[in-house]
Amino acid sequence: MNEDTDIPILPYTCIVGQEQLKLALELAYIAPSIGGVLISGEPGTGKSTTVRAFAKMMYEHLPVTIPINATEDRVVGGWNIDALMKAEPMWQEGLLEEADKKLLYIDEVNLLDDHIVNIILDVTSTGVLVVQREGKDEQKRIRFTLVGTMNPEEGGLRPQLLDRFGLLVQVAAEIERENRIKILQTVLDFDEAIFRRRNGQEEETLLEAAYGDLKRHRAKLEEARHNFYGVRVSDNIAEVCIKVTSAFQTEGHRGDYQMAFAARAYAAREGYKRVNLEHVKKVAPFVLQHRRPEAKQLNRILWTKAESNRLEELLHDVSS
Amino acid sequence: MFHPEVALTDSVSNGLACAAITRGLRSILIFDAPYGELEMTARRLAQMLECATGREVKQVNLGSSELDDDLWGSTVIRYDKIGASVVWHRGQLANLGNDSREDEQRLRLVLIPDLTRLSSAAARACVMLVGADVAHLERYGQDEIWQPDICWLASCPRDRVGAISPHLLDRFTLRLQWPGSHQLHTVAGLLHRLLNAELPESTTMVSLPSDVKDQISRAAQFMPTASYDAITRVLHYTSGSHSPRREITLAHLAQAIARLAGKSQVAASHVDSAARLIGLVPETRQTDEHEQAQEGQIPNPSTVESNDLQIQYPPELKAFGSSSVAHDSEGEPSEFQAVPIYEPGQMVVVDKVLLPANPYPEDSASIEREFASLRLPLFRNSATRTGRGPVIGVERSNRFIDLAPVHTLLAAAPFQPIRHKHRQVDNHRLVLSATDLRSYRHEPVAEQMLLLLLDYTSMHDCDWQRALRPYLSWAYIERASISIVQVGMASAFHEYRAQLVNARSILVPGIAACLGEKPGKATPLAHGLDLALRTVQHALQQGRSAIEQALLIVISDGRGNVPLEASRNGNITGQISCEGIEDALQIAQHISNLKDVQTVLLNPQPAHYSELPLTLARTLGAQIINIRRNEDVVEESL
Repeated sequence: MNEDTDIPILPYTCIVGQEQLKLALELAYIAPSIGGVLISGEPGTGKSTTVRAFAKMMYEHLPVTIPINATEDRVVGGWNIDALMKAEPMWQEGLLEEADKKLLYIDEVNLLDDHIVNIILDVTSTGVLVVQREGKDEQKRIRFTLVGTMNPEEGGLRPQLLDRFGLLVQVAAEIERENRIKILQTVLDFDEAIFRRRNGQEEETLLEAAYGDLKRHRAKLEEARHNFYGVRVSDNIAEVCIKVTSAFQTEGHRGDYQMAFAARAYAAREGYKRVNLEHVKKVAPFVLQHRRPEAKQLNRILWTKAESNRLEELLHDVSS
Repeated sequence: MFHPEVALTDSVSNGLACAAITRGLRSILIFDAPYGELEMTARRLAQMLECATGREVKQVNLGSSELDDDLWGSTVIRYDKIGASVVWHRGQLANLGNDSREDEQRLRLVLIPDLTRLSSAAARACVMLVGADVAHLERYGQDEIWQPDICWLASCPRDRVGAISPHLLDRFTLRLQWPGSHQLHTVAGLLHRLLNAELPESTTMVSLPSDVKDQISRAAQFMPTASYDAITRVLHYTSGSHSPRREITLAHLAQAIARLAGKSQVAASHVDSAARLIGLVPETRQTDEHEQAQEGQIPNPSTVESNDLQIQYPPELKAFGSSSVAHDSEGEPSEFQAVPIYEPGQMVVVDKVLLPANPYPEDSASIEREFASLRLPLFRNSATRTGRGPVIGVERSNRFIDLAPVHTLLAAAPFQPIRHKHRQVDNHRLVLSATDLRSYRHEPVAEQMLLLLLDYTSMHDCDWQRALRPYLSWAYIERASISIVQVGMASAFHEYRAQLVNARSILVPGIAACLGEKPGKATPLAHGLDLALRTVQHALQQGRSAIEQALLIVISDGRGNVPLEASRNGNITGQISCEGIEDALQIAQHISNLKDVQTVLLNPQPAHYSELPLTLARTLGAQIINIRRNEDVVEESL
């Protein structure tokens, strides 16, 4: 891959608002078993910027990305053409392999060619990449955190792929006046910082200030990831997860343990040793909204105040 | 000689100059720009970009035929002294960075003359690249990541904006209205265009005045900071309920205006100027005007003259070259003298200037596109899909049908040295393997067609929706194309004529609107059947994408009361008796002679002349299905 360090990306800690989106990405990092995050929302809300900024913070480079122009040979791997011309067989690994133990990002995931979607589905469901093409026949175990962004106006995702994303976040434009002002200020400050950098001027106040924050935030998430398996999930909490998913009629059992994983990751992020009901409440919408039957039938995701109230009542009943 | 037009004093020129110095504004959509003028505008923008960046600008045009390989790149065979080799050929939108020092220095200007006609591949590429921080190329062994450095200039008719994906539209942040487009249908506008059309190209070449070049170059050298007032003023013009890109664009535009004016700080007045430039009015004013417009007090803000608005322009928004562009080479004022709309140096109340229209017409435009229009089309019928529909790419194949020979050879070429080595065959022989085969990927075309003839004057008092539902379901399942012949519609363009609506599929939202039309007074049934006949003939017989079977559904009581001649002439002369019915039956006979057309008449069972629909059905050779009368439905429910 080409060098990406020269491409300016707004630092993660400078991103204003979008707290739910940031939380979901962080949970998926702390607990890779969650599987991934689907980010659905209107354009211009900073979905891609947030994902890239997060990857830059945690992995120090941009995420391995499957763009909608990707061909099969780049996704699963193929022979290097230059080497072939010299009669030398040299395999060039694909993006899925490149993303092993990292974050695999699909921008505009609902616009991806169906054929490529099928390949990704095969890998995410088995954890094995099977390459059987152009005389090559091999299998590799790979695991990545799948992050996709999409604009629901351009159509939904197939249920099989939707289910592969452990968490779903709906992103909307910030409507709070103060946040909107902060966003504008941040964008203009960032532009100015980039302008100064390109013109050889040193005053990169925004970027300099962000560097320290990024370092601290990264350390916090790494520690949470390290502590993840030390956080206890009691039988009661496990039962609550099952009750909540049953009440919301989620399909299959994936929702049960995704909720437990996410709640445990949340507890680790907040420095707790045990998962409590508040942690379940925080993460439940991420897990439930795309697994409810209504979401599949309507081909759109709904999580309104009514669902939040229902969840709260459920948790209240359990605790009392 | 300069182009004799008010070119550098209008909002478009000012907007282009702002885009030239601001990276975040380099995705421009101009509404209603005439094609020839757009080309000139692109050249003007290229000069501005060169002034602002000091780099050479390379123009690329995108239209309706580009494929992924054209845009991103593909492998090609190149011959040199050593022999043939397979090399990567960069596409029009791919990264230029590694090619050569010369290319690296170039800035691309992509011109899209009509955004509504952009190919599917180009539209998807635009979604990936326009306004993006990062671009990725992962095709045919290529693995690249770069920051796109492209200026985009697109145009489309304002009234066709509903045909474009809002996702794509949102990428075009700077919206401008072509000046004088309100004059397109006036005598002055026509004469103006005729005069310009007669000028040889060399005389219409635009050269930016040197003071404008200097101004742009100076503005590109510094970045003013935005005051808190300026930032909060942006929120006066936006509600926050739409894409945040709109707020950021307004802030960028205000900043660009301040830069061009040489100011070290962006003030609230710059935001006002920016809003004025693109046609934004304060949110509170929009609400007030909406309420007043509903009460019939004021017209739409897009057409109102601003002499009553008391708009005050800041002196900074200078009209570029306002003195020079209006003169020809002899220094004589030309016929179309530039009229500066901004007066520098003093606060002025501008008189007789039309407000640019709302820059975001998609918020209220009716939807004319298919659902999820940016997605790659699904195949409609795998058994017979080959060789039909325009080519939109290539794909791997395991059959020798509809092979793409060049792509197959290109796929095989890199493997030739290694195959020759292992198989001990003559180096000059091409060794093909099954994995090399590539076939064309075609845009799916409908193989079935649903043609509805709706006689609205006969559809009252019956449950036609229920009767029609199975056929609509069929059209959906078969992915059939759909055409509706509207007969006797209250909102028809002409009372004596039927109208035709065509759509690629039943999912086009306009189809639902057609079903809900109200009945008018006349019933031009003969004209409706004539339209149906011609439509189905065309669909069955014309072009390589012709359909295989058509299903014609007629809902009519057969009581046509407009003769075909009257529909064609647009007026009725003399007494009318039963000519409308006779003409309808005559055309129905022609329809019955067509092959591959299945016809069904849904009989509304009129109380009077109940034999007429049966006669029409017999003449059409149609199956008759009775529609339940509403009174029967009520009785059953009781």
